[in-house]
Amino acid sequence: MSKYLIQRALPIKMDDELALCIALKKLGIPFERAEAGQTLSLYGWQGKKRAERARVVIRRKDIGASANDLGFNPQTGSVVISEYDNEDRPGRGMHVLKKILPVYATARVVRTARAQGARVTVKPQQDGGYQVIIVGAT
Amino acid sequence: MKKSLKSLPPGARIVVGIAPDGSINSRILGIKGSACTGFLENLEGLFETIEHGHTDAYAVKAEVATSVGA
Repeated sequence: MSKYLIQRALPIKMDDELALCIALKKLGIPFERAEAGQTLSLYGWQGKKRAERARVVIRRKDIGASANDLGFNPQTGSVVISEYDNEDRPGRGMHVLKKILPVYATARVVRTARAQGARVTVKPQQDGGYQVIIVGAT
Repeated sequence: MKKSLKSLPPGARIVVGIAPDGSINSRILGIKGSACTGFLENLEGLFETIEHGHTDAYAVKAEVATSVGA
């Protein structure tokens, strides 16, 4: 059984639940989101319920055959990922997480700028990155 | 002191570069000196690390690529 880790060593603070959901929808990654004030159980690769819980969960079937559920707790800015999945290889959670990071970061910046009344343009880059241009309201 | 992004003066813009690996940097263009102060600070709370204004920054490379139609 692969132990779950609390991953916080990411370039982006995963603390915006709405931006996370926007990113997952944009990427077409199925996910489950708990009701307000609730959390969801995580399940390991053998289908066993684990002690760890999260607000937003990508189920293991949507990651890889041997993967464990991948959880996000935006209230603490942490990602709950198993030791097995904590490696950037196809079929593992970290591989999915790496796809999410730039899209989440873009959504996070856009939401912050728009909340302040600024105008925003997003330009996807050929290499998979993004450029966000922020201008004032005038 | 933080200044709202809404109050960026005409001609000024912040370019945020988000690289495929999730690394991020930002640069403010179109204004100089003390007029720049306070805007980029709005982005600092969002990320564990963010680099501002480096000439080799991803944002700048991306901006150049865009401006030449790459």
